[in-house]
This record gives sequence, C-alpha cells and structure tokens, in this order.
Amino acid sequence: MCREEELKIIEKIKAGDSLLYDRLVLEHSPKIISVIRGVVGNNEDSEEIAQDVFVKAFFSLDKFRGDSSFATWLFRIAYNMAISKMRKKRYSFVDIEKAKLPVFINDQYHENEAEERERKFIMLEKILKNLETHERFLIMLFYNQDKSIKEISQITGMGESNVKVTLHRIKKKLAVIADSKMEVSYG
Amino acid sequence: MDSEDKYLKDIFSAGVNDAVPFSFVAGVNRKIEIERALRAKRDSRKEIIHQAVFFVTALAMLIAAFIYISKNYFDINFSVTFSAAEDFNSGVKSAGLRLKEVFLNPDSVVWYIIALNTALLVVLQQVMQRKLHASNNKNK
Repeated sequence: MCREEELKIIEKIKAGDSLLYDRLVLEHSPKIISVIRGVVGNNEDSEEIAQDVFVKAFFSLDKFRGDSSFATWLFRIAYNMAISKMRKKRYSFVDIEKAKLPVFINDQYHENEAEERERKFIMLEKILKNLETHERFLIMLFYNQDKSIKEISQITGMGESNVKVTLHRIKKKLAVIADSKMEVSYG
Repeated sequence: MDSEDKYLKDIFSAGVNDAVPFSFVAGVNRKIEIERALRAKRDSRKEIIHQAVFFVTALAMLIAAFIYISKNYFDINFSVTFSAAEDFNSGVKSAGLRLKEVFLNPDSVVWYIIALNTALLVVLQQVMQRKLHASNNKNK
C-alpha cells in the first residue's frame, strides 16, 4: 500500500468509515507483532499488546497528522505501550516460542533450512534475553525492520546521536553474548 | 553495513513475521467495540456530572440571589408579615406596594440585565450541548 493510498484510507476512517481500518491492521500488524514479540518474547502477550496498539491508534487517529509515515506513528505507540506494559506487569523476557517456526520436512533442503532457522532463532532468543526492554525494541527496529537511525529517533523520541550511542552499546553487549569475534565498529 | 551488521541482520531475520493470525483482526475489532462502549458510558457519565454541577451551581446562585434581594430590596420581616396577614387588605396592599417598588424601581434595571444574561447563557448552554452531542453521534 503506497503512502497516498494509506493517507486516503485514514481520511476516510476519520470521516466515519471505520470498516476500512481492517486494511491498515492487515497491512501493519505483521511488523508490529514481530517487534513486540522480540520485546515481550511470547506470542500470546505480543498479539495482545499489538491489538491494544491498534485499538489505541484507532481512537487517536485524529492526532495523526501525516508528518511521519503511519508505520512510524504505529511503532511509536507500540514502543510506549510495550515499555509501559513490561514495566506494569514486571515480567521478564519469556523465551521466544518456537511454535510459529515453519516446519519443512518434505525434503533435505527444507529440513536444513528449518534447522538453520531454528539455530538463528535460538541465537536471537539468547541475544534478546540479555537486553533491556527499550534495547530490545531498538535492536528489533534496526535489524528486524530495517529502520533508519532517523526513524528510530522519531519512534522512540530519543535524539539521533543517542540512538547511535545506544545501538553501539547494544552491539558491544551482543558481541559478548554471541561470543563471537565480531568487530564493534558501528558508526 | 559491516559484516557484524550483516550477521546480526541474518539472525534477526528469523524473527520476521509475515503472517497475521486469523483471529487478530477480529480481536482488534472486538476490542474497538468494547472501548467504544466504554467511552460512550464514560462520556454520558461525564455529561451527567457536568449537568449536576451546573444545576447545583445555578441553584446556589438562585438561592444567594433570593437571599440578597430579600435582604436589600424586600427587607421582609416575617414577624411583621405574619401579623400583617391578620389584616388581609392591608397585607395585600403593602405587598403590592413593595412589588411595585421593586419591579418599577430604576435601580432594578441592573437585575433585569442580569436575569436576561442568565437566561441567554442557559439557552446558549443548551444549544451548545445539543450541537456537541449531535457531532459526537456523527463521529461515532
């Protein structure tokens, strides 16, 4: 969905055609769920929080002026909500469920692919488990959603240089966690 | 993007979610309906509270106005009034004279203006309330 089309849909929803909101939910929910799952660590809670994000966005749609993209705006709501829910519930990161991992067992190629994916998943779990909530959100935005420093700054409300410093710090942590010889040279 | 970034990006690609659970959109819609009902309830409660506050304030002002008028214009001495009631004719006559004195007094013009302003404000409040209510319903 292009930006113009998205803005038209948003205008129509604001005018009262709330059924169109389903299209925005379908368009953006995979990204939001992915990031929140990375922060929370399990499917049920992440879907619950993602639903709350869309509900909040629906009732705040009048405040969306279109300065940033709708996705960025949604991520901003998701960031605030995930942080506050994690703080309120005081629960720690739960191991990422592997239930959603696709299982390909039909041939050798897919079997290897599934194994490879599972290996990555375990590594991802190990990485995320050792980070703070906001760090998990930042790293998910950067590596999982390919968001730029500027976009992350808009989403989190942190300054761009602050985002850079935080990402650099996270990468330093990750280098230790992953026990690799990765060169920390973020710039 | 350096090799470290590439490595991390590869790892994080495992967490990419392309599919939305079937129940997700339905869940969002259900929550929106629940929130909408809650908001409507909250709004109506707020409106009732506003009306109650307005009513109590208006009543308090009315009572204060009556006390003020009775003290400064009528100057009713109840013991005198009751005794005057014994002589019905003189009582009616004196009450009539007092009313005339109050309503046809040039000083009462201020009170007429205040009363007119109050009436105007009440009408305005009602009009605004209906308009806001109508626009709220339209937005829903």
